[in-house]
Amino acid sequence: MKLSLIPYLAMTILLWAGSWYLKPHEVDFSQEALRFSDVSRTSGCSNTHSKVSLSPQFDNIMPWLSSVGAAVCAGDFDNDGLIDFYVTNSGRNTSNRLFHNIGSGKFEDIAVKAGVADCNRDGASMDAIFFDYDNDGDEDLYVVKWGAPNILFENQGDGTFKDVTARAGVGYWGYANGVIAFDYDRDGLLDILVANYFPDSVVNPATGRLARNDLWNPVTSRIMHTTFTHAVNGGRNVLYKNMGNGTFKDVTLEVGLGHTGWSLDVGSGDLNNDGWPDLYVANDFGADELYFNTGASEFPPRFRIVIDPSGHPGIGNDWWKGMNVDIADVDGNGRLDIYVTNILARRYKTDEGNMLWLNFPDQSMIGGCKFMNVSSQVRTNDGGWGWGGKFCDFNNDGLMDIFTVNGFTTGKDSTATYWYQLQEMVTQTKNNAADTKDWPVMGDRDLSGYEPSRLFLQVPQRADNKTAPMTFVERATACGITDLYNGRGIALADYDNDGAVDMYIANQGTPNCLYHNELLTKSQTLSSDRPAIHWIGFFLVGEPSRARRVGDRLLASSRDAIGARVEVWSHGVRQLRELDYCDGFASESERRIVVGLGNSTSIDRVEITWPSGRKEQLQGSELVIDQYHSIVEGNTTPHLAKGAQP
Amino acid sequence: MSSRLKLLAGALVLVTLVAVAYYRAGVLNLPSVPGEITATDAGLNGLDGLKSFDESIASDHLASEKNKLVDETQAAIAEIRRGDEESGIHHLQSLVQQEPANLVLGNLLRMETFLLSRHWLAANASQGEIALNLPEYLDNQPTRFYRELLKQRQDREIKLQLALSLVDHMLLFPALEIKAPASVEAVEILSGILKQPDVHARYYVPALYARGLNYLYRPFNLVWPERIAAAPDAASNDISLAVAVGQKIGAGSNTLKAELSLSLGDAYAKEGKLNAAHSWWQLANNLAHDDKIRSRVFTRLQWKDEDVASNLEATLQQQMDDIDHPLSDIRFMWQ
Repeated sequence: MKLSLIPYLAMTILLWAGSWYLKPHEVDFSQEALRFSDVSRTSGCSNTHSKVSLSPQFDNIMPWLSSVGAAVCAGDFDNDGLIDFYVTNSGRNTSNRLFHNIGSGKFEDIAVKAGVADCNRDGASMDAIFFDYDNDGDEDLYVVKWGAPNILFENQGDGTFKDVTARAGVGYWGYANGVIAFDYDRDGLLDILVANYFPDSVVNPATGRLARNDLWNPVTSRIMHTTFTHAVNGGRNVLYKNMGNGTFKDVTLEVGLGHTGWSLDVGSGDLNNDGWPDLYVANDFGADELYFNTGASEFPPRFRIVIDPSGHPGIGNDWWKGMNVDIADVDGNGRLDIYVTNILARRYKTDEGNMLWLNFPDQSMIGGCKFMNVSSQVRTNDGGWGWGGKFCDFNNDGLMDIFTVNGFTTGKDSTATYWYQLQEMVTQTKNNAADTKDWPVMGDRDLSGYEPSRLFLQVPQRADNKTAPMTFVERATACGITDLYNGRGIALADYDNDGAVDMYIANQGTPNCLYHNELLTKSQTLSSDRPAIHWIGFFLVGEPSRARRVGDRLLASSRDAIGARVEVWSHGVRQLRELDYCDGFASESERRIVVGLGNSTSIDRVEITWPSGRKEQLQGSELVIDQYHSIVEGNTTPHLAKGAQP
Repeated sequence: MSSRLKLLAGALVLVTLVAVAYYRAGVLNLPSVPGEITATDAGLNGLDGLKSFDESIASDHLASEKNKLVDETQAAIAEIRRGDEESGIHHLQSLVQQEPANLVLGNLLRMETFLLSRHWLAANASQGEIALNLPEYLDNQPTRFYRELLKQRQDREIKLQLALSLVDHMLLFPALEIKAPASVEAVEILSGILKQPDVHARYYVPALYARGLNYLYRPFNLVWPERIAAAPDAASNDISLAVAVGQKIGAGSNTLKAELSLSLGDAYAKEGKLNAAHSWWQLANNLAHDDKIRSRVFTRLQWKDEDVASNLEATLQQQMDDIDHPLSDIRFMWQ
């Protein structure tokens, strides 16, 4: 060896040693109890999603166009204390499913009997939510679609539903991919926001006039986005204000939500802690939108769009491919943070990744909020070709984790990719992205198929380093989440009432998964020197009749109490949960709140802020650890929730 | 040492001193004020008279027979103190009607109404949290009274008292949904005073200061509709002009000047201009002969730069919550 090489060798060793020293230490989760198993087949809630099939005119890119539609929503439609699932199919004349939870981990499909199966005779189902639109105490169902009017089913209280779309006035004909229920004006009546993807009308080249954009009987091949980064020729989103008499009114333009991006999802949450729900709209092929609700300063409320300091609508560079938004306080600072899924595909040189926007106070920004994307630093950015993503404390350690599904279209062979044809099409100026004729044939080529889901577990701080920055570790496969399906919607629901949150995953064109969380089952069987893991659950019931007069307004909570906040204080540490269970792509989670307590066997107190603004406090001594509590607004005596006993 | 070297060393010392002074004091530029502005334009005339009147009202001694106003005012207060509250408030209202430009009387009416409303709310809190309907003589008072008075007369003092009564309302009912529209209306009224055809109207210190405080105390998490959103420097613009006018006129007690300086420091701090904020807080400290103000300054000067925004927000909120010393009480102007 030449002597001149020695310094280089020494430098290499030093660099290696330095990087080893600085690399965050992986936490050994091998002894942890978190484990999931897919029980969809044995539990009786299996469904293989059928894809939408549009006009043969679009056959060259049909896999692309039919890449969405698998959705799931969770709710206890028959009030028996057991969470049920409603699952969509998108193929013509296929039936949607209503999996009724009959206990002992078993389900039966009663969609036909309940009258909610037949949703695909026209158009294609894309998303659905349970919500109590008439505050009568049972969950109604809203199904949004492509190419046919959305449908509102009213729960009759006898196990059946009735189509009340026409009377309610919520049958928007368009291309919805997302829907949430929230109470934007805090009148105690849940409103509906529908996120639309394609526009509902296009120019007919034969007449030069606007015509219905019917993708089954198209008048034009120019149906796609005009650019991949700044397209605004998508569908308009629709905000339906609940008028309280069984009808809704379209107030989209009145409140300032007239943007026409290619919206895939929308999420609501009180981001600036003023009591009013704000909105984040995740758009494909263009900037996402962040809106603050002006309800505190004007009535009726409107939405004010946030333009970041660089003139970008939204909260910063969002890479123009937003698929999912979920909102929760992930870092425990009492402010809601945002998780947006995106695309990370290193083999295509696309390393943008999912975004975790942490919310900090900043007086110079609208709403006093500054958002910083820390996803790379905390290692939650690599979600593959991301779709649904949800915050949840899966291992009940008191720290919020993130689960995300992914995968676009699976081809015959993952190495035969469509990406290069796509790049060629985009970069050649003769092509028009809006025109499907200019898109190369996709055939059975793959585009980020075969991707494993990601379970980002938040790493607990070590006892000797309480100031260490937040970080996550990816543990999906290690925890038993091993499928390679193209996931879309994730419904979080504790279907067996054991306090460990399970997941129903709607996969595109493939079988769905029901991942049972075996955390507590496992922890009970671990060695006796291991302390048990504890939790506490809440089922909040708002009282619309107990409105509060604030100035010249009446503020009330809906019965579903969407927007309510629960703060659980245990050993001086606060955990904040806001009830926004409709958030997340093509999905709705159940409405109960589970708060992980780790090894703690007691809590100090619980503070509840209802959407009406009413604040109530419960002392820890009034509550039972490892149980769900039903809490009714205005009645601070908690009761154990129905069906709460596993 | 050669003379050239001495010159150079002197220049260096001078530059260093200027740099240190600039670093320590920040920028203290105040807006210019026309020389012809009078104490009357500025609303700072007759402060001694107001002080004397205020002291007479508070005095245990019987008022001079010649001063019927003091006598009547004392009688109205006595009615309130002996439990005849409605009559006392109406009595005060009739006195304000006679002397609408009298800031002492206007302030007294607002503060007595505020105190009675506060006591009533506290006494009736257990009856329900929803619509606590105050008795007629306190309900939305004295806002309703001043609105009626404005229909008869357009004095700037009446408008000022109306704007301040909206601030009283914000202090009593701290929900954002009440505070925000009340603040907007108060600002509109104060802007109306400052935009009078008389070119000197914009130098009316009480309105400038009240509007500046309105901007200053708005919580920064509030989202305003774009059409009424205030500029980030709205508070410092108003308060600095108020300070500049005060300096030009040379009127006002040191307490008044210290309060103005302290508020201006707060306004700069809210904008993130920490050097300027420190300078004005320091000036407030120098002007104050009052331990309370000095203590408030001392608290602020101890804040770390990175914590100023959150500490200031919390401090301003505390001041709004301190209903024993309502922010809208303008007695400090003449005391």
